[in-house]
Amino acid sequence: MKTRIRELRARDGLNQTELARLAKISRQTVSLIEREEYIPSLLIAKRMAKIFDETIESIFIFDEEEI
Amino acid sequence: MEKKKKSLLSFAPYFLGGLIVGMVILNFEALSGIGTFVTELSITGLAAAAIFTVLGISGFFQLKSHASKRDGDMDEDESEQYMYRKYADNSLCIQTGLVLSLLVTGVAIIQQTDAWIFTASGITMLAALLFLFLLPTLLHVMYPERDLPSSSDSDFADKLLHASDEGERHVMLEGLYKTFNTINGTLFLGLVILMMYSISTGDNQIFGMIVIAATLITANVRYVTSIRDRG
Repeated sequence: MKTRIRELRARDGLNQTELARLAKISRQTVSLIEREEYIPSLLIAKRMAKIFDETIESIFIFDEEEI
Repeated sequence: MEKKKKSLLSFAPYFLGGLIVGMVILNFEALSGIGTFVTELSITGLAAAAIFTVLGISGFFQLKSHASKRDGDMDEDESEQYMYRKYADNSLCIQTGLVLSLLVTGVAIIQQTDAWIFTASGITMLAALLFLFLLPTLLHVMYPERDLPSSSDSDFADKLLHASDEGERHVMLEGLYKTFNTINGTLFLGLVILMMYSISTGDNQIFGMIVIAATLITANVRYVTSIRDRG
């Protein structure tokens, strides 16, 4: 899974801690997702989509074989 | 290149472990006379315990000061990462200090070494124990906005796990699983070393072997019973 979180954070001028606060998760979790070491739950993905005003699919990009 | 370096580094503990085991096996005879230089060993152990405990305690106050003021030189993410790593380092230092001081205190009682060694290791052990209980109180200073349990709570560990989010639990699970495998391997190795030591020196280690075997079985029973009915 690829993620655009870092790019979207830069676009909206948010640091990891601020994003974590908005998504009601820890900074460690934001960092894990950003480093593509952890696939978030649907709930967190939905919150991220809402924060960045994007669709879940445009933030979290899966390869065909993964789906 | 960085990945290659990391994978080489991941073999370091196994290499070091193998080296120690090899040296122990080759020097059983010398080790059977361990009682003759117990004072030197106790002083070395005590010095190491004191260093780890002092590092842990000074780190505790550094972390407390940083968390209360939030250092202006760092940006918010750096500050959060600093606190997270510092907390983990302090925890490791204090735990190591506690185990080493307990070992030296035990040896001092068994071998009746100098009274000052017993007193110093006892004080180090109490200090490490005190800060081991105080360390979780820092979590409230580090993360004031989070609803974390009080360190005096009897279910502190369970409630802390419950208060963690999914990413934190994922990290904990990975760490605990690796730890479980390491403990299984090292205890098994310890059992084999004690058996070989007993055979080659005639110095009976059966009681120690029973304790290790019981610990190994208890840990595995606890693990299997907690996962088998979840399928």
